Amino acid sequence: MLLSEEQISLADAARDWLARRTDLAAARADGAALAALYSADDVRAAAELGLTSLLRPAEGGTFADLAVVVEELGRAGSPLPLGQAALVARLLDQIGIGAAVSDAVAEGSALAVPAAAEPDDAAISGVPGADGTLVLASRAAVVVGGLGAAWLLVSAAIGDDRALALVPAASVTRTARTTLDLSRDIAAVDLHGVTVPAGDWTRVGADVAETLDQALAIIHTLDAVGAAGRLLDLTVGYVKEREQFGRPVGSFQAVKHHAATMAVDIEASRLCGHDAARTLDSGDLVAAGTAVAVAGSVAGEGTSRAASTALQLHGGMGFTWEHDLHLFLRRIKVDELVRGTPRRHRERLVATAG
Amino acid sequence: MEREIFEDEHRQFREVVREFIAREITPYHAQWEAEGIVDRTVFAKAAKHGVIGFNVAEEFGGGGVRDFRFNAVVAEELAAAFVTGPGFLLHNDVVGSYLSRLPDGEQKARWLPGFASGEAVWAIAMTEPGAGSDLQGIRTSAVRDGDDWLVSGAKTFITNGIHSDYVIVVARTDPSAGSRGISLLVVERDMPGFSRGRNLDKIGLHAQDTAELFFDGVRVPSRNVLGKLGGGFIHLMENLPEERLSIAISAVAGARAVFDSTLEYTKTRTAFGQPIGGFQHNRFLLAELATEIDIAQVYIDRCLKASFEEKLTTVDASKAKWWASELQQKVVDRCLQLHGGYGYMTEYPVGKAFTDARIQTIYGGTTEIMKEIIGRSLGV
Repeated sequence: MLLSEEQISLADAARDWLARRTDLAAARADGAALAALYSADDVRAAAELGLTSLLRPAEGGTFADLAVVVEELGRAGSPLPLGQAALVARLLDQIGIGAAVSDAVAEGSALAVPAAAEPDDAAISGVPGADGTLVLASRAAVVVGGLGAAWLLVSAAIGDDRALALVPAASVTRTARTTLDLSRDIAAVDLHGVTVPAGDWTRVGADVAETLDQALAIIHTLDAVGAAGRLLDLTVGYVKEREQFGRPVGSFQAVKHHAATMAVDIEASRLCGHDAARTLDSGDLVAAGTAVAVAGSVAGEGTSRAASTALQLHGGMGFTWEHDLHLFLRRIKVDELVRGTPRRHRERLVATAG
Repeated sequence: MEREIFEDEHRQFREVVREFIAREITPYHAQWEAEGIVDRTVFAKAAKHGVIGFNVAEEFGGGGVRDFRFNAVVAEELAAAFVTGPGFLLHNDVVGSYLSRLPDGEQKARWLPGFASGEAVWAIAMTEPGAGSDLQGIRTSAVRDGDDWLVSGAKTFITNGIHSDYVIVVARTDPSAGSRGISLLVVERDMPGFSRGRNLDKIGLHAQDTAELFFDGVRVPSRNVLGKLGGGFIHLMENLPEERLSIAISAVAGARAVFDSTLEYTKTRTAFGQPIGGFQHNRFLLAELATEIDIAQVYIDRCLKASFEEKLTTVDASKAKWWASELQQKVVDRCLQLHGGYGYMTEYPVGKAFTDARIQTIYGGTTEIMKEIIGRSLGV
């Protein structure tokens, strides 16, 4: 009902591939290894599957397709910021800068991710300089995939105007952030005084900046949905196997109800998330803004609640470091809070409701 | 709300504990978390200052005070300082409770001085890979051999599992006698056949050593049977209320500590030109949490009173345990939300509490098990 035949095939292909490629043991290793969560080979292989070129206008890909892939990335607990990279490739094609970078991302020889201010923070500012350059100021506090990326697509404000600027990641100071999430690299990026040469940046319409913000919110919503779906599978499997008082704990009504509530929370989140992606495809940014906000508030809390229940149903096992459960729980919590907290999304709904 | 449960001596004790934590624990806690274990000398230091061991009779070197309010003060001050490492509550409250009731005269002379001085660290081993709250499912066995018992089996999730010198092992001494066939045997550090598995890596409580323990035909002399032979199940049931109360006390104190730090944050963090605590939604949320914490505190204090009057029932303790630990989850979750993007940075106490506190609704009997106990008492 929700997905087309093609999208189901895409989901299956992505799921199989990610299951083979994703090593959650790396996420459990010391924080120092964060930058090494994935290899250049992983990125190339993802590109060969078409995952980084998915959104390029020439490929005809849609945000609805991206949503399918991102859900699988979350389900796998993958460190690869493929949704972010696909988004950058699309935007570069659309605004007509960085053609070589867009191609490199599509081929998998490099990764690029967006660097935008968090919704609650002040925008990254840019001042046009001599010779058509753009001088950036401020920092992006949370850049998912920022450590492993070769390029950053910075969303900046020039007064009331908006601009996108392509910056080589190696030319800026990136600091690994210690967050709850262990499965992805998250960096703070300092853009103070970075000078972007002419040709590597351009002014864009508010609609482009808005699309970027909405797409990032959708990426985190669907990522959390996928991760929560994985937790539901793990949990149902566990409560069927684990016996106490002479029977599987899943046969107790309280446990069944917990699992059923998880399923309802996740399915509702999933529907809202895919609806937001489809609405963004329609090009109606006002309607999409509402759908994204609905998804962000429903899924942000719904998936976190489901994750907490998953841990409860695993009992002491769920508190152990070796179990995969906490990796997904942590990831979901971060997905809930970045690119707009549920509170922020609800505020937006209030604003649109007038 | 002003608490009516404490007297001057408890308030003075609180000052001692607070000062001790600030001086001997807080400066080292991050290092212990990185190492996955506390420096064991902290037990002896704590005992020297009376922070633990006060509940042992004076003739064995303790403080001679059996009043769970002192235990509560320690639990509260540890929680207030976001200290999760030293297994004081397990050693002092849980094991202390067993050792105050069950040993005979010879055992007291043998065990209590080391326990009271903190030189010997104790643990209790109930949980097995296949038996959590289902204690009837315990497989670890003790088979009579002459005047000794041969203990075999495996335990898991044992707090103080690495540091412990003495482990009270729950084992089946009579396989045909059901719950009357379970006994408590004290296994000592150097007994052949006793080994420890890894210090288990957990998603929170990183400074606390939690281990698997293995027993391969460990020869335990009869004089190490604690309490009545075949009476282990009853001894566990007698002690679980205080263990659960101890968790409930730390849950409310932990909730309050996170709440207090968050309240401060909402007064100083501004958005849209005003402190975020001033927005009506946040003000109401904070009001709601403050109310629920106070209400929980009153119930917990009432249970505490019942405890030192030796009237605490297992049902009331179960109510305290699930309600307080679930409230703690709610407070931590809402407070993390109030911190916005900073909440999931683990350098903030609330980000750490998100993982540290999560076990509270699970260990000592899950919320679901607590409701089972309460539900059965209602005759349904």
